[in-house]
Formats: sequence, structure tokens, C-alpha cells
Amino acid sequence: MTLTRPRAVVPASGFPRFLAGRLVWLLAAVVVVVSATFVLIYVIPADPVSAVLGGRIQADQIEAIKARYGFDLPIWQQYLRFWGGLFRGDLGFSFATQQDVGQAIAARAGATAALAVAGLLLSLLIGVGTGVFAALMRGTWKDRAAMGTVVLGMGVPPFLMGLVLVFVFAYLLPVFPVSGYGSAAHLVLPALTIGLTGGAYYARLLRGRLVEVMDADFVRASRSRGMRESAVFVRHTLRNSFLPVLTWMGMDLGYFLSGVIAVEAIFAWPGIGTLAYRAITDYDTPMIVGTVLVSAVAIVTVNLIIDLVYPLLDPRMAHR
Amino acid sequence: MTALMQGPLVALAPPRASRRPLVGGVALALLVVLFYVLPTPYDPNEQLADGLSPIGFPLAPGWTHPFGTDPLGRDELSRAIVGGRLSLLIGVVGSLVATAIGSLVGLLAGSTVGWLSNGLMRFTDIFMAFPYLLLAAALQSVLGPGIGNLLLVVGAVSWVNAARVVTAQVRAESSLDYVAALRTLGVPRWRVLLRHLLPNISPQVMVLFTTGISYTILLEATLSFLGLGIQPPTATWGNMIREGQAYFSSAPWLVLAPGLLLVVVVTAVSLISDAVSDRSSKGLKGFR
Repeated sequence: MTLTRPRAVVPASGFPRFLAGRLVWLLAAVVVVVSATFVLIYVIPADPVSAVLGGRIQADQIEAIKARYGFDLPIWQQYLRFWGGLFRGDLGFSFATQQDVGQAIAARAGATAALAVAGLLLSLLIGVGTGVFAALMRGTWKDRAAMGTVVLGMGVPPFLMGLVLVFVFAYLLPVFPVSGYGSAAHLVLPALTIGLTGGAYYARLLRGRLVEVMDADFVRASRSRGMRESAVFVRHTLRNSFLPVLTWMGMDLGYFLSGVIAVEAIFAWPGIGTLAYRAITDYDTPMIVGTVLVSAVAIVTVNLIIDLVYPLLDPRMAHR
Repeated sequence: MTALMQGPLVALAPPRASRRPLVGGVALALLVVLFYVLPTPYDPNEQLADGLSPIGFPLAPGWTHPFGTDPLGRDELSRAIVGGRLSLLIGVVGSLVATAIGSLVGLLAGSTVGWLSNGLMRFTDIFMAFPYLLLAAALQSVLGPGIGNLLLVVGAVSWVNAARVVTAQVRAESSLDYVAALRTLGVPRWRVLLRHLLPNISPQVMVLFTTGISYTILLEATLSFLGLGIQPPTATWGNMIREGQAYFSSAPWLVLAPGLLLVVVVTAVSLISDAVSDRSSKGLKGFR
């Protein structure tokens, strides 16, 4: 007898069932993340209003503000009110700027999305390029040099990479603008920061996987059937090595949304990262909850999409 | 087996003994000596009388101050060394906390069935959806600054990876014959788990722990860079880079000196965790 019984086999139920299951999971994840954030932000500092405004205004004004935002209510009522507001699409108002949280996030989502897409594309370009190069050159000094650079690159946090790029491009080689938003040129340095730091992970992951797959029986079989070396590599080796890269892309979004706080701060990029950062330093609780909520929804949605894409790369992973 | 069947000739070469443990280990040993054993050249928090140029500008790197001085006339090398002590300490202890929490969750989730196991695994999955730095930053701002709180934050956000890996490992090991054999001999489940299974997955836990160190160092640096981690005047690389940022154009050493040390230490730790990983991976995998 083993420590665990084998898990029950899920009856074949088709794609709709799979999708429904994933959507329920998505919803559950968001509910838990929001609840945890709510507890974290609202419960631990017993009195957020005094924490923000303490000493600056009269005690009776504090009471009035508490009543206005509902902080005088018991915690479970505040929690229900929060969800009630959420269902009406209302994330509340920022303490610090009086903005509507939903509108503030919507106004900045585009900038962060642009940075995310550009950064991810550059990460993939750099990572896949380096990974494939190192795998093809495996065992040689070129492989070792490439992977050495990658290990070094993994040790550079995005904020440091950003500062170094600012230094290089602002003072030594003034080609790209080092801060602000508006044109494609503004996007280059922040995206390169994310591309260089993120690309290292893809390179390492892909090389490791490629080297394993290159020795697999099915690859040797393809070669023995007389397939051209390049076709074997692209159609079999690379395709089979791409699954971990895809999985990492899903996890990478969480990493990206984290790194983006510092990167946006350095390049004065008007995205969700700067919004979240300011909210945290201002103890702006509705804004913190709002940005965490939006980030969590983005992360689970992207992971859902990736789950749906898996079978395209690997038919064995067809949705039951 | 002929070379033809083996595909590329490289695959035939026997796996060479990795030289990486030596490189990473020596590098880290040197850094530990530098950080903990050697005295700092100056008091890291003292504003030196001759620490600024006649016009009040920080001194560039030179013989007396290898890393230069900061805008308050403090010796940058001494501060970087003290910051390094803290960073390494937070890295090791933080990773220990995270790996311990994660392993505990993983052992529970991997060795049980039913609601406990499912609940723990779902909870772990959901935690992956958290934007971790946002969570860490929010938690840090709620708890307030301080090393103890920082370790708590690190533990709270970084246990997930360990939990997932350990769960998978425990499940994989559980299906092996030796577990069945032990159970047949009447060894209780908990004893199999703790005395036989745990030692068998300990290499993987070691890998998690060592990778966790570099991860934690980077997390702490990022938090401190954002002004949410360790607060000045206590020096860490993150808050030194934060303070140096404003002078980057005229005094780049204020960012580059702590930044360089950060990269070197994280890389050294990564090399060590690669070495641990090499040792623990079973079978012939060749040069990796």
C-alpha cells in the first residue's frame, strides 16, 4: 500500500466542462485573493483613517470621514459592501486623490499593457534566441559563455537593469528618451529592461529542455528517417521544448507585474505599477485593493488562455 | 551502441565533473570573509570629516575610498559591506522560513488524500495568482519596517514554489516500491514520511532553499529600493541604490558599487544552487 491512493480518474467530459471548471477556478482565485487583500489591508491596521490622516485633522472630522467611507461599520459589513460595490463595477474612491479607483486603473491599463506586450516579446526574442544558440552549441565555449551571461543576467533585478540602461542611454549614448510616455521611442528602454531581465529565465529554461529533447528517441528517429537537420530541430525539438516556456509565460506575468512597479517608477511610466506603488506609500487602501484585484484577474486570465493554448503545441494535452 | 545512433557526437562525451561548485563556493566563501570577518575600513554610518570634496561633492572611488563616498560623506565600501551582511542574512533566514513553510505544506498536501490535500493544493494554486511584490509591499507597509517583519513578508509570499515542488516530489516518491515495502512491514505512515521519504527528497529541498536565497536577496533589494524594506540609516544594497539614484549622472558609483555586489552575490548563490541541483539530479544528463 502506498501513502496516497491514485487520484480518481476524471470522467471524459469534453471541452465545455473543462472550460467551466477553469472559469470556476478563476472566480475562486479572484475571490480568495480579494478577500485576503481585504483582510490584510482593512483588518490589520485597526484604523486606516487615523493611519492616513492622524494628527492632521480634528477627531470629529475623522469620525465623519469614517462614516462616509463606512469604516464605522463592523468588518463583515464593510466586506459585504465592498463586494456589493464590486458587482456594480464600483471599486470605491481613492483616499489620497479622490479619484474613482476603477477609472484610474482603466486610464492606466493601456500603458502597462503596452509595456507588458513589448517586454514579453523582447524577453522571448532574447530568451529563445540565446537558448537555441546555447543548445545548438552545447558543450562548447560559446554555450558556456552564453549561459554564463544568462546566470549573471538572472542576478540583476529589473530596477538595477533599468538604472544601468538609464545611465548608458541618458549620459553615454543619448538615443532613447529615458523617462515619460507617448511615443514608441519612450517604450524602448522600459521594454528592454524587462526583456533583458526576463529573457534570461527563458534562455535557461529553453536550453535545459532543448538539450534533453535533442537526445530523445523520437528526435533520433526523425533524423534516421532522413529528415533534414533544420526540420528536425524546428518541427520536433523546438516544438517539444516549448511547453515549459509557455508555462513560464503564465508565471512570468506575476513576476512582470511585480518588476513593473520598480521599472515604471524608474522610467516615470504612467501605468498600473506606479499607481500601485503610490497607493502603497500613501496607505491608499481602496487603490491597493483595486490594483491587486486587477492584477490577480490579469494573472488568472492569462494562465487560463495558456491552458487553452497547450493542446495546440502538444496534442497529448487535449482537454478532457 | 554506435555513434551514429547517438546523434550528435557530443552526446557520447561522458558528463564532466562540474567545476561550478568550486567557482560558486569559492566566490561565496570570499564574500562571507569580506562581509563578516574583515573589519569595515570605516564606520559605515559615520559622516567622515574628509568624506566630501571641498565643494561638498561625494568623493569618486580612489585609494582611500575604493567605492567612493556618498553625499553625506560616508564610506561607500563600508556601507556596502554592512549592507551585504544584512542582505545575506535576510536571504538565508528568509529562504529558510519560506522553504520550511512550503515544505510543511507540501508534505501535508503530498502525503494525504481528500479534502486536506485538495484544499492545500488549491490554496497554493490560488496563491500563485497573487502579484507577489504588490502583496509583499502592501504587507510590509501594513506591518511597518523592520527586519523581523521583512522576514515575515518574505515567508508569506515565497513559500508557494517550495510547496508545489515538495507536493509533487512526495507524490512521486510515494508510488515507489520502497514505500510500499515499508508499509507492508508495518512501518507507520508518519515514520515512512519523516524517516524515509523526507531524506529522499531532501536534495530537492536543498535546491529550493539555495534558489530561494537569491530570490529573497532580490526581493529584499527591490523592496528596499522602493523604500518599503529596510529603512535608512541601516544600509542595505536596495536602499543604497535608492539613495544613490538621484546622483546617478554625477556619481554613478553610488548605484554601481552596491549594484555590482548584489549581482555578484546573487550569481554566486545561483552557481551554488546549480551545483546542488547537478548533484541531486539522477542519471546521466550530460553537460548542462
